[in-house]
Amino acid sequence: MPSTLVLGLLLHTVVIPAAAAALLLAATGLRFVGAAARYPGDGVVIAAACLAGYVGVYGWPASPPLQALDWLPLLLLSGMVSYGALDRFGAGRVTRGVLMAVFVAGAAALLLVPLFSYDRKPATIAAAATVTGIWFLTALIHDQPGDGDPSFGVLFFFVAAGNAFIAALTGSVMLGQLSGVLAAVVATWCLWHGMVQRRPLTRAGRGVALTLLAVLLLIGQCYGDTPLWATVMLFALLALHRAVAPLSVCLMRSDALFARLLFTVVLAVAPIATGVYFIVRASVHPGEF
Amino acid sequence: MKSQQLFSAAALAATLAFAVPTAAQAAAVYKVQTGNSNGTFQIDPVHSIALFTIGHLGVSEFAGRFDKVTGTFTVDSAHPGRDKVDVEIPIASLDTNYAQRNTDLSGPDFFNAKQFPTMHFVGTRVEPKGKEDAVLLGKLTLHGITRPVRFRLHHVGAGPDPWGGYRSGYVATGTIRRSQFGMTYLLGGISDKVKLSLHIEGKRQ
Repeated sequence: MPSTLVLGLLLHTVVIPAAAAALLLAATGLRFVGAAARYPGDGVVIAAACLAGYVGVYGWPASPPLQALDWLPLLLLSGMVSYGALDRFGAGRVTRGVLMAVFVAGAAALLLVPLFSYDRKPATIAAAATVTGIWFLTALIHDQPGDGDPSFGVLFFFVAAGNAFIAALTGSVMLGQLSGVLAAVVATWCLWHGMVQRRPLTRAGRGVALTLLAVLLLIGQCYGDTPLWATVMLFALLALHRAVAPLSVCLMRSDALFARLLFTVVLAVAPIATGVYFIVRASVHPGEF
Repeated sequence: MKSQQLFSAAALAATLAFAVPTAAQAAAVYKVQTGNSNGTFQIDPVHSIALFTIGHLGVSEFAGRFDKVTGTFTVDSAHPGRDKVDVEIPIASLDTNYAQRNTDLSGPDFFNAKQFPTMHFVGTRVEPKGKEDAVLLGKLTLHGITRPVRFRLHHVGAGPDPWGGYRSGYVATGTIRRSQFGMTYLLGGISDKVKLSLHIEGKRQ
């Protein structure tokens, strides 16, 4: 029987956010089952369920914000509203790109100003700039009109779950838990849409999920001890997905959803498992890696 | 006669053989110096340390330490209102005898040392309680939050050192609640109450 401490961690990391996502999807999504109109609430459901998990893991944010994690709800809500507004008003590609650049730069500035007031070492600035730049590029790559690839949700789950392990192993169990919250919400969404609605994540849904993951990766990189290679690898898996998804169809000579999912899982799990192995090895044999 | 002289010499040698180390040992007995503790003192980081204990899983009092303590204190026994204490401790000097735990505690879950690299205590008032004891009131800034704290203060001793200087030392003990400083993670497994013990030696300026 797991201890109450472990049960509490699981409750806050998995059960609460997954239950919140399931309830929200059931409350708002059932009338879209079988309808021609697409379900528009992905971004809202992901943001709201993740916020429920955030409060369970971190508590209420300090007001005014004291540290980077206190900004997370505001950034998540800003992302949700921004992506929703861009979709609602049908902004053009250039406009979307410029606004996303402003959003990513503004969010990174909010998160990093406290760090740079103490630490302006070139290595710190270079790492922060690298992660921010990859965040923007990944967001831009996945901000495509229409439905994304159905396997993106599954890939995103593995990346978020991978970051949960990597963050917890490299100095922040709390950041690992928050990434676990995101993984639990996306997993719930995948199950719902896979079994009930059969729709991939919308543009806004992808944007909101990516915003939360990127904030966690940036904080883990700059305030925790997550290695830069691990952060870049996780972003790269997401960024490369657009190239890999069509490739999976060619290589497996099948456009069946199962084939795409299998290909995505193999491609995601192999590098993440390797990364976790190296991190565990480095913690067991410090100095070797 | 000759044998008597020899016996006397042997007795004297034996007496000296025992007496010299005994005298040396008597000179090495540790004594608390009770000199004047007034003045402004620079904290000697080599002979100062901050210790803490915190409850772990409801079964033990786990201990850790901060190895670097810097700052100054001023004592004016005639005017206790003029007493001053200013102590700064870098979080990076944390040591809990396990590297991974040091990393965890210094990270975003607890001290968030990259954003809040030091803790800082400023004494605001000393209330004497007897000859060597007092209550030290002040403000502790930890994790970006400043709160009033209260320490029991014990003056250990004061006096000249072997290098021509003059030193004075204190032990301050108290308890804080980490949640009051915004460190609320894992309160179910790691206690809210943290016992602090600050061991300070200062060199008079």
